[in-house]
Amino acid sequence: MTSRFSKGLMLAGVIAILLFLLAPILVLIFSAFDGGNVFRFPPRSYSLRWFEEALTHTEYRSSLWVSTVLGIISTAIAVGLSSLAAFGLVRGKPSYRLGLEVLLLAPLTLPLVVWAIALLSIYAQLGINGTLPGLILAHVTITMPFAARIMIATFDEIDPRLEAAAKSLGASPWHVVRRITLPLAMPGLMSSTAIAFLVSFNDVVVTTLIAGAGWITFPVRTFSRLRTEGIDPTTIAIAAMIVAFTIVVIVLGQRLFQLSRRF
Amino acid sequence: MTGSPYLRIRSIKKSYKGAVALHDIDLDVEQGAFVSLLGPSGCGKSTLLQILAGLLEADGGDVQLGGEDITNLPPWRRNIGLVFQNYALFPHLSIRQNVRFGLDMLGMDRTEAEKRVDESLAMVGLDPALSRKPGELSGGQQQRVAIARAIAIRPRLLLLDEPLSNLDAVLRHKVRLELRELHDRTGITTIMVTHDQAEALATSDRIAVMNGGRILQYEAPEALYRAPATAFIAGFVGSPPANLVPLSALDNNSWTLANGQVWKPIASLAPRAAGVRAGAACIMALRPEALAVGVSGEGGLPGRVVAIEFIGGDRLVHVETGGTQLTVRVSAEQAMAGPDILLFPPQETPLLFDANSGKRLKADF
Amino acid sequence: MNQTPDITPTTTTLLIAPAAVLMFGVFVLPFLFLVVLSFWSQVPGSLSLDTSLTLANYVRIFTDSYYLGGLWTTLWLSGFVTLICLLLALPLARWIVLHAGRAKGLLIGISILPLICGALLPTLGLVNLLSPLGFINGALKSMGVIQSSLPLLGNITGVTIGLVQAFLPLMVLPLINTIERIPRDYEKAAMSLGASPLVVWRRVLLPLMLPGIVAGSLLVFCAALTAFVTPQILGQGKVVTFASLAYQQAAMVLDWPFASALGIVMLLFLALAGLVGALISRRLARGS
Repeated sequence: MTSRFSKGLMLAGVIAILLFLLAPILVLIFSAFDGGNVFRFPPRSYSLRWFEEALTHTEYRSSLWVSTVLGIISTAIAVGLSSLAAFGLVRGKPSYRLGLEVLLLAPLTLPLVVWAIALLSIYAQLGINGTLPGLILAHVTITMPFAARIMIATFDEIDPRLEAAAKSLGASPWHVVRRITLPLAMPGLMSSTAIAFLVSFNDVVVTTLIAGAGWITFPVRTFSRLRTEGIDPTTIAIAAMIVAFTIVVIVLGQRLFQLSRRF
Repeated sequence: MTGSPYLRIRSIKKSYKGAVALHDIDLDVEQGAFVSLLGPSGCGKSTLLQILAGLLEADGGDVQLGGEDITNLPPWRRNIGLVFQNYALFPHLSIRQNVRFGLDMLGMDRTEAEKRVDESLAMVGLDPALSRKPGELSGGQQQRVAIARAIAIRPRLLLLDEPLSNLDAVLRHKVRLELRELHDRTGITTIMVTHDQAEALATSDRIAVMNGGRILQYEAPEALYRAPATAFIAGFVGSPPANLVPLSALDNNSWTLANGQVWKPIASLAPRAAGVRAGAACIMALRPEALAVGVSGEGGLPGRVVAIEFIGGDRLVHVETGGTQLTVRVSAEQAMAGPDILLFPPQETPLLFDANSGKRLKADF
Repeated sequence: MNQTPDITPTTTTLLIAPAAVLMFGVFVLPFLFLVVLSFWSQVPGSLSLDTSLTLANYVRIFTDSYYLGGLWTTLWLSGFVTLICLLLALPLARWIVLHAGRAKGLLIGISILPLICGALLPTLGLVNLLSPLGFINGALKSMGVIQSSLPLLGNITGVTIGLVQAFLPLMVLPLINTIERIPRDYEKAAMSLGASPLVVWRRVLLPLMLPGIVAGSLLVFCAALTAFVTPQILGQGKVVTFASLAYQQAAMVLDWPFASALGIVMLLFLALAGLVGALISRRLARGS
């Protein structure tokens, strides 16, 4: 009896914690449907007007565009470089593998604000502050650890004997990569691409310091508005769409290639 | 030497970070032969196989196949079939695509390739209509696919890496006969790596016994069983393998056993017959199936029965004698007296080895 | 056998070099530059740097009560957030490992969501959750529990809630990894030896989970110590944390040497936290 009671209590506690984790996101999506100029609970009216507003607002559209372009380019570079490096680390088994993994994963553990301050001063010295290449370089750096971690785990799971078997059947190294390694690494590549893009797209900490006036991403625009004018319902609508998109990507990723297992 | 052998391995050396895996390996294999590399794990047999496949680079030496030097040929130009212990079937390809892989790499025409896939699958006793992925097959079926994939390219040499070790005991027995049959049908020169001496004895034309990175003996199965070159081989080959009894010569007629007990055997087993001088430390190999059990008689080795194992038609009797435990194989019908008994080795030339070098002592008489 | 590389050392180096060079050049070097920069100073009224070495930035941090106050607030806030995260994450992680079954992947996905959404989007939701007209106050008022709104924004309460929400995943993930590696038989063995559930937790489970607890606590503490987006928005400028001071100096005041010194002080405290974590781990390894 007591064990059943304590199990129920445990379950209730776990659900409460999960709700707490999800509450901000749920409230965000809910409040996007509030028809008023300021969110209040319970809302006076419900409407889709802020979504319409969001899709027509030129300033937001341009910053969403910047976020997307920046995300695509940075992701492509980060996933490409980290895949090569992960393959080298796993198959080449260099003695410095551990040290290199620490280097590649360092941005996950060291404070990005501190790093961004330093990078900003270096960019200023080099005269590349506020440029797209500078921003891309920064985004490649912060997405690299996410991509690298997934790719190292991916290649670790591919049995090298499969590649050896292909070679013994007459496949040249190029054919081995194209016919065996790449298809087997595809779920990992997809996962790391999705995660890297989302991290780049949603970053505010580094971008707000590094991005100049020319390349304002959506999170940066939202952050600066928040500090000056407070919340504006259009922002909420866009944020809700981005969160919904993120959830869809994660759920799909989970379904298609067990994304969470690779994390 | 009449002509050069089909596969000729000369002074192949390999070490990993200072640890020597292979010392100067020489090995000749005739065309169409089935040869086993037999030895415990870490003896270098898998390393040698990988070098033959071209997946590992030797530190020195050379390999010739059919008169061609293939030492520096990359694996994908060797046309050597390889069957892995875990089969290494491509999980993202269907069974047929797996078997066709090597043919695609050769750039073979589609209809011809499909025909070859049918042939190869039929050869290993699989239904050519199989359209499933490897993960849905049983271990035994996966292994057949792996073999079909390797022979589809009509390899110049077929390498089998512990092909039976992932199968259960019943299947293992059946498949080892099939492997030999397949070899006889295709005539492909085959080299199998195994740690299981029964497997090697049952399938091979010749067996190379390896230990510590060297080939200790390279013989036909029967010769290996009858005249092992070292104590290690005697203690490794046979089921169960020979008992190794450490003893030292007391004088021309008697041995001292490990616990100091003196044994005076029949003349043909005495130190004098083997040409061993007093004081020399030796190892005598006694085959479990060749030992007779009795209670009285000349030259018997006194022992005490410790345990009896019933294994079907026979019994394995574990006997403590002179500080060593021996296994004796007797017919299940034979009545056992005991616990104190006498063991009678066969009256032929003994299998006697030098205790230090492990090498066989030739009885020169 | 598993030690044998499948590709040549040259190929290995060529594959790894681009990523390694990038990470070293763009990530590691700036930290080294930061050290130097923190001993420089800004020429007043201009953007140019005075490269003569000075301790002025550090003296300013440790003598000005504004910065010392910010440092103190940040330290205890981070410690508090770490503690709450630990208390919430322990039951959650254990439940996910033991009972979630097939939903496990999805639950892990949910817990990493705040990580991937970045610092900003969940914070937007939190504002609407905590504001005077927001979800919590609105719900409580319509139920008649309270008459006037509870102050949940613009104070330490809001910032704490925001930080816990943002960094809970950092605690949950290492804990899940550790708990997954504890064989369930240990627990059964302890119980068969007469240990009550409480004793099982204290004597068997907690010691085995400690590596995960140390790792998770370090991650959360470091993240909280250097957070500035959440504190700025939920604190509405009224809660001064160390990282937001550094951010202001770098992005608004443009005094980079001083911002660097603030950054270095943060790094020193992170190193200290890491050292404490390492000591705990080592004592643990010796104890067992």
